[in-house]
Amino acid sequence: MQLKFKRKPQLSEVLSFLYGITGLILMGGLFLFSLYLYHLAHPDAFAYLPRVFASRLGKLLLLGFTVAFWYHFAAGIRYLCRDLGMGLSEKASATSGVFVLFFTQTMTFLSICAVWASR
Amino acid sequence: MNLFLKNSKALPSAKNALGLWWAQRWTGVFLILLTFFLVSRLFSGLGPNGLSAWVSRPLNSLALIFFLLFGFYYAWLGLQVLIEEHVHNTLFKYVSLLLVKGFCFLGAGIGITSLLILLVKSSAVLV
Repeated sequence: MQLKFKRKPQLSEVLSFLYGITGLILMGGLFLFSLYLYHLAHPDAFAYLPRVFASRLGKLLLLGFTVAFWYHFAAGIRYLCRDLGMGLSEKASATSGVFVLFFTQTMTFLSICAVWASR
Repeated sequence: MNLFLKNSKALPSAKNALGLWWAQRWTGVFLILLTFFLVSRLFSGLGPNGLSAWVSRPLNSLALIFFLLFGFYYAWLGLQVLIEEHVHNTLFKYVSLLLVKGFCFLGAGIGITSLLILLVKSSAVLV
């Protein structure tokens, strides 16, 4: 019989996992951006790309990239601080972890507002 | 398979570990600055001719070339570390490392050549 220990996922491991996932998402976004530049240089190629980004699904995709960017940004600065030896204690790590999530939420909302206002 | 395991230096990031560590940090910081710069330029300067005109402006295309170079280099280094830490099957590890490298070179190549083509096209209109 195999023993399985159920435990609550810790905040730090969830944040680390999300850091990798958002990195992958942003990499996909960067590749998509390259394809878009290719479309601009050769208008016949990938002619459907502007329509994709104008559609509702495309906007949802862009919103996803925005969330991923702000999360990766905040968590990346958190890890940079750790490289410098700041915020290593258990309490500081928990506080900064929650702050990263809060920051992502706020900045995504502000980004949506900025796009809305500029239309 | 043990051929790979014998020498831990076979892993790409073990050859120049500190250099790559610093490269990851610096490209990360530059990417933040470039992203903010480009997005602010996009918000303020997207003219009636749309994105292709915006992209061909000298300052924008220069920033975009650095954005693509740093972006794909950062992604390559980051994924390399991720794969080395989490993928334990040796064959799968080396294949995925190679695929990631190819993907990043392809992405940067497509983006930068397209930018150069757009620059040449826009300057041909001016002449």
